[in-house]
Amino acid sequence: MSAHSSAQTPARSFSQVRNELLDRMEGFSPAYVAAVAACAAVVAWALFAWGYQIAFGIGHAGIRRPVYWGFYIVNFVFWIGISHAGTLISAILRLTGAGWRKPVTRAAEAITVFCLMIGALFPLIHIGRTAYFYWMLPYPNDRLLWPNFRSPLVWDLTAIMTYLTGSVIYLYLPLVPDLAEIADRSTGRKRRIYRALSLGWTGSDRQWQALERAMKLMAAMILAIAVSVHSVVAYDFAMSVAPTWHSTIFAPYFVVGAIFSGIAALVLVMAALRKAMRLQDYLRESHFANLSKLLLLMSLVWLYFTFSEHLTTWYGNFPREINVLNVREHGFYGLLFWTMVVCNFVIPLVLIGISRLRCIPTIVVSSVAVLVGMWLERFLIVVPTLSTPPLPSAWGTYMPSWIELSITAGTFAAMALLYLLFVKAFPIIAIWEYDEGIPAR
Amino acid sequence: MTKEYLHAEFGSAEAAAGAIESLCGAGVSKSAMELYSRRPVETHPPLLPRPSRMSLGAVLSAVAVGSGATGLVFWMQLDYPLATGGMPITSGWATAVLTFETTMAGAVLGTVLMMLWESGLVGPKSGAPVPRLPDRGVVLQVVCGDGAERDLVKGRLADAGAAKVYSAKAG
Repeated sequence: MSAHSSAQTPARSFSQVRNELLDRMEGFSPAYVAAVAACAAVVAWALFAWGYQIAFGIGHAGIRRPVYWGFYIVNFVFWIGISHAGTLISAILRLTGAGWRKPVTRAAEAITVFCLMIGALFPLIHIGRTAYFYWMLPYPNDRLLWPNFRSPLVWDLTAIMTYLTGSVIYLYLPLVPDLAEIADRSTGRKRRIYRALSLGWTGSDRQWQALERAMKLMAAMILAIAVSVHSVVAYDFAMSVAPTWHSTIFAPYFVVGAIFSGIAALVLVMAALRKAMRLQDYLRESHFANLSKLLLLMSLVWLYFTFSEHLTTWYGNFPREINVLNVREHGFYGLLFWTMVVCNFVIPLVLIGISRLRCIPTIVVSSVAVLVGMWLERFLIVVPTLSTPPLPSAWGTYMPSWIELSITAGTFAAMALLYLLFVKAFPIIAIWEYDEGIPAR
Repeated sequence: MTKEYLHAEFGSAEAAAGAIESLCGAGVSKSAMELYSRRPVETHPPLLPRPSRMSLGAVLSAVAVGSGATGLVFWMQLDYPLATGGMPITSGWATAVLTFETTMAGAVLGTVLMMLWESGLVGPKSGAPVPRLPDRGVVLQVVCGDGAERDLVKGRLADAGAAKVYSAKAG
């Protein structure tokens, strides 16, 4: 793939870049309105489904003995995993000084915030009686009972709240100078809103130095937080003495999977933005090429972890674990398992690994495959273990009900909707970080 | 003596660096200067270095929040001991997860608060006028007295290649 050559064409000026990016925020095309309406309709249906479940009980969902964790926990792990796209990738690239990150970081950071917002909903949906969610908060109830701090669910709450707080701040801080730019170009109420959001940013060197210092510190912190969050999500499983869950490598295995799916989600979002917002000069082929190499690397790391996990289980030959392994690989879930392997390994290896095939469409196809594969991986972690309890007479299967399917579809629509609204309210590429190398048209 | 703000527009950070050096040579303190730009002025070392306590603030906040939360968790567990099936009432391993997360939350909050404070976005305002920023280049603001000092600064700024020098009143 040839990188876009900027050496032979004059660079765009700052004002050109600013005007172009801010102009992209203006106006609502019919396609945009239709997309917002479609997403909003799906989200509304999902909210109805959730409301139905609250009103008539969790029994209307497909989760029942022996599989008490179904789509909701699968989606929870999936969305929290994708949330690693943004902050983690942005932080790694910022700390390593990767110059090509500049047009990518805000799109990535927005993914993190939205995915966390969506992912954090699933424990609320899963508990059925959503109104009692506050029981997890650290305060004594009317019987002076405190939450059980040894419970990984309380760890989850703490970790996700920390990550969400950090990610929102990590997204917001570098937005501040751009908000001031928007305020400068706006009038009336819009100007007042953006002026307030920009906190009175003036562009003084004192402010720039403080911002850059804070971003470096935040990048280092957010890396540690991101790794810990998905480790804690893995502890939800690993702390239970359940076959194939009680594993010492589950935390790093989950982190690897999270980064893997996160990169795929980022590629997908970037491709959509590039096409829909005509950002070809900003999100260049070289960005996709770089991300695809990361994606391929993570595919190999994922395969290594998956193989290690399965080899150890197979070699141990403990009956309970072998039962789960057989159901997962050759039994009821066998087709899903091998689809996962093809999606997570074979497709990226062929489409990205063979340089002649590597281009934006094949990278996008690989990313879609990886997202499908990683969702299946989460499903295959959660469901087969629960469906094969120690007594074979108690074995069961799991089929999601219309409520779970609706809510799952609703979360994907919610992600798209949040993104559609975000790109019209904020510049999707950091204007102040703009790359001098962007060629003029 | 009345305080006056002089604004000088430079086409590049290098030209502004020359002006700062020249003004320092004339006895003007760097604390009387400020740069304004639409993009960060990326020079090493910074043209106007500013000591920062942001890292210290982050660490102190992390320690305060982390130790406070850890103490609270231990106290809660002892306040109403749950049936743990033979496991200890308080556990360092389990608490470590919460300690880590709350410590990091403290560090994040400390960093943000220090950033807002050090950038002047919150806290007392200096009242300095904010220049209109050009799309390219930087604006150097110098606080000086009126009369001879102003003329000296103006001269130095012009000699350093300022495209435009103008005075402004405190906002």
